[in-house]
Amino acid sequence: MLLLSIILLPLLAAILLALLGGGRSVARWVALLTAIGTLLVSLGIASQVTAVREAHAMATTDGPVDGPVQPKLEWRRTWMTLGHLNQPSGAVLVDNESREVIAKGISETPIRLEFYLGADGISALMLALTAILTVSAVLISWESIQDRATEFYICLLALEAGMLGAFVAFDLILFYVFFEFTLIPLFFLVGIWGGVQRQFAAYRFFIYTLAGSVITLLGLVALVLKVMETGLTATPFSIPDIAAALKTHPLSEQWQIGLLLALSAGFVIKVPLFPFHTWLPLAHTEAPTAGSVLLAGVLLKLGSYGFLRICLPLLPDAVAGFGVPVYATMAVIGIVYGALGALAQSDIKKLVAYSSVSHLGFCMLGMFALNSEGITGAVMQMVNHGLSTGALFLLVGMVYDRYHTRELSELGGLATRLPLLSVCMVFICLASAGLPGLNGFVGELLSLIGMFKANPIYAAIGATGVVLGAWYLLDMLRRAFFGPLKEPASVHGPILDINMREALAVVPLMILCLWIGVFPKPLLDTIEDDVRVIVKMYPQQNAAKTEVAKRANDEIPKDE
Amino acid sequence: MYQHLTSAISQVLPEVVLLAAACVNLAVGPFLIGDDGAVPKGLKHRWGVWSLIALAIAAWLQCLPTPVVEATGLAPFLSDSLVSFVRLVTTVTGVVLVLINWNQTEERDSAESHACLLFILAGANLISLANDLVILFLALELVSIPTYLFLYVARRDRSGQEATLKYFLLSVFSSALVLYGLSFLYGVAGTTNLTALHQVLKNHQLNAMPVMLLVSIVTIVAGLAFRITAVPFHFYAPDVFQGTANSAAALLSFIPKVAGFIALVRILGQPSVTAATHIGYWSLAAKSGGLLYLLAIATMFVGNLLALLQTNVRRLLAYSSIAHAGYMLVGLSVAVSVPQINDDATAASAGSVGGLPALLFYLGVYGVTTLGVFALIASLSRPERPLETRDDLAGLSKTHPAGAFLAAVLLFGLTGLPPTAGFLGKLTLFLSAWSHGTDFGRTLAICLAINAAIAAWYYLRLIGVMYLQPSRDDTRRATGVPAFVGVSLCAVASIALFFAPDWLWQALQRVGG
Repeated sequence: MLLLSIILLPLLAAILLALLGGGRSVARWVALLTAIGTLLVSLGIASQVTAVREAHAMATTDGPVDGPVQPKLEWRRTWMTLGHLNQPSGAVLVDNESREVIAKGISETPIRLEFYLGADGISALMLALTAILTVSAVLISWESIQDRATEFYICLLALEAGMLGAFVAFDLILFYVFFEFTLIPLFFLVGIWGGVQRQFAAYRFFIYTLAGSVITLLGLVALVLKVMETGLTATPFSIPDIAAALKTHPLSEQWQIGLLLALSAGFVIKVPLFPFHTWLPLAHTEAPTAGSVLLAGVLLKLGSYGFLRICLPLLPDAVAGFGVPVYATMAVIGIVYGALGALAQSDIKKLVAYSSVSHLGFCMLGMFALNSEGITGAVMQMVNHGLSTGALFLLVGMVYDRYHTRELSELGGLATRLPLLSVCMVFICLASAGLPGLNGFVGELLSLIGMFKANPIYAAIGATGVVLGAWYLLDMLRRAFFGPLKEPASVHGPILDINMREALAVVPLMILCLWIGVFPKPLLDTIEDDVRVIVKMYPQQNAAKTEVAKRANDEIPKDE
Repeated sequence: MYQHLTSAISQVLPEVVLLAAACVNLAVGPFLIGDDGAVPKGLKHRWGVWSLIALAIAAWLQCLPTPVVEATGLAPFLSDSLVSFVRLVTTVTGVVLVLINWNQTEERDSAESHACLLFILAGANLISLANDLVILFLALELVSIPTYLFLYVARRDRSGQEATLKYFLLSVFSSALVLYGLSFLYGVAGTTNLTALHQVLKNHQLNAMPVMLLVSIVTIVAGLAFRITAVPFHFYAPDVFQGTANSAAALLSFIPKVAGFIALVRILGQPSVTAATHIGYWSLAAKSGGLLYLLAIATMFVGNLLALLQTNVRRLLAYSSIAHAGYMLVGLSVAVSVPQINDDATAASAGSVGGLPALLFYLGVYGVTTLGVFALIASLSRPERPLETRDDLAGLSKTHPAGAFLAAVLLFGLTGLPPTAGFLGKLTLFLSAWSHGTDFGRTLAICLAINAAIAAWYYLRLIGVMYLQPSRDDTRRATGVPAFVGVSLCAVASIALFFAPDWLWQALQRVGG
């Protein structure tokens, strides 16, 4: 029930606000309380997932290995019955020669589309990330959103419901539904409360993403019907059941490649991978601060989460044979291109936007290493990028609230004027650049190690992104925050340092950055099982590694 | 014969009620208007309520258990689950159409206007009931002829008259085409009874005259393609929609489509999988597949691409209705063509989603959604503050927030985005086209996907205008209450069907099964 309530809570709050109205002060308090409530529910889900995992670990030494995807909590209800699966009712096998006999022994099981919610370690992490960033997003909008504030918080809550839904959906169509639904509130967030070019940015973002995801839908339909043809499962939309069915009846590699291309069409745009990133800088820059935080922090993860949840476990042959060279190449180009793009920016927000392209490249690079280090690194990178880039957008938003500009040429030496804000900025930039001891390091290192094992060349090129990342972030710090004080002339009134509300939005993220950097073990433990079952799909990629591990295991007793 | 007729009456009681109510309108209406042309105040409200009562009685009669039909199959009417579906759809959309029409008519014309609506709704039901080519044609005319009158009564200025005349001429022409095709069909089969006709076709008795059948299929499909606004028979739609009143445009966007699609389903029938393996098998359905396929692709692309260029809202919706006809034609062409038969017959039967249920589901969803949009325009349009062009919609989120919100829901529904039933409609069409298992089906699915993406642009632009652009006049818009009730009904139905589609979908799967 927690799974259902985590979606319904923000959704109902949004509906209530829409029906009952209420001014800005009511709306923002409702939004804040709902966001905090949702955060508590997400922590509840995380603790339940942990409890289930520990119970499993007690029972078996191998961990749960029923299938490549297995939620630890689940909630399912029938949504739509699409037809009937003619299953032989006994243990009789299908025999083409004596159809009549079989026809009598057939029991009709309805083929179901389901409301299938579930959570495993990966989704639990993403839920918590979403919930905490939403709290920050509400806090940062507290004063800066004056116009049509009620509608703003309605959109924000609806967006949260959509994002959370996508992370708990274990039915392909349901996942797609939430994936698509997020477009609607975000369109309004960017289009109404955005910057100067907000309309263009909103349209472009919406159409670009929609065009890709329509192809994804086509891929989903084709995949589902392929599974239906096998007649193995009555729920061919549920991701675990598809995975189980495809394990016994693998698709031909041609089919897998075609499906991978179609499915990933929506995901590569969302992540975004290199040639499909063109919508991102504009949308990030034009969105209001809260929109940028959620867009960068969570929505981009829907793409990589889609790869992780759908492509990797369901289409192993295509991913291993065809996917690695294609997507890893795109990821590597994205890392370097995004970093170079960030270096060239004079607008701080645009710089952060381009840095997202680069950081998500690391995430995809790790994922397509297809070994446990790489995939763990990818998940960590998803969380880390959410925290640090979310925080960066918050801080940039604070600077913008004070000076109404984000141009590096107009700002300088802000450290003397805004010492606390500068401290936060330096901290978060270092986290984002991957300083050891902070969170970015963990994800990037694991991703690169994973890729280095699989293919050192990709890893070597990708590693340059770390250097470039430090360069553009530190350069931005130097120009805007250090040196002689330079403020735009048009600013009136006192410029105050970070206040309590803003601190509440940013400091929790900073604490998490530090915690993950110093002691990432709880997070790694949470996702360990789920990563392991995905990695099991790729024995060839991990053959060498397991040998090493065996040897290591053999050696341990000798030492004792 | 006498028995046939008496049992037949009991099958069409709901339609008899609708027709009787309409006749009361026509008979009583003129006496309520004084000799000097004085109209009692609130006359249109009375007639509106009267129509709703008639629809309610008809709906109640529909819910009663249907009388058992004798097995001879020669009865003039059918009663199967397709009939129940069409009755459900016409009742729901009939209520919305009455609500749209409520304030759109002049007080003095309200009796006639509502009478026409009831005739049309009864006619649409009768199309699904008809088991005979003659009755089918009469039912089609029962839809068309009152439509001419309805168009004329709704708007009488020059552009309204031009629209009415245009529709009248082309509609008569298309009726003639249908009749011509039906006469060929009769000439070949020697019977006008549909059940008997399909029996004859199944028994391979018509192999001798394939050319005659082909001519009849082409003319019937062409004639009905006018009704469903399939390209290249669509060209009247934009002019007529733009020129006529909102209520008439709403009617034209949906009811002729129901008429056309249901008539096509009834005449073409369903392909028989087992018989198709015999060489030389002739079925109307199997042979019309290719034709409908071409129509579907042309209709989708032309409708959507031309809709991108429109600024007049009703004209844009006309092109959108053309595009949606294309989507539905995808379902129809999948339904009428024989699916690929796999080696493992049980597996093939497990993996198929029928084209016919998908078509009907989409038809229902489209009806609710598009009528909702027209109801909104009708509700917010005022002579002094019309809603004609896209710019008139600017800033609607400020001047009428509830209306803008409902419009956004409905337009996202037409786009096919969750959480609206439009998404499930598109999904089931995708599933049915792809599960056909042939390149034919896959091409249709891919074209559908491309068009869904194109269509998103012009719907989104309407929403964008309402929400992202400032209004020229910030005063609040007034609302026409009855039509606005209709909008709310449609929006709620569209969302409710998304969350609970199963009852409708299950019922549709029994159609033709």
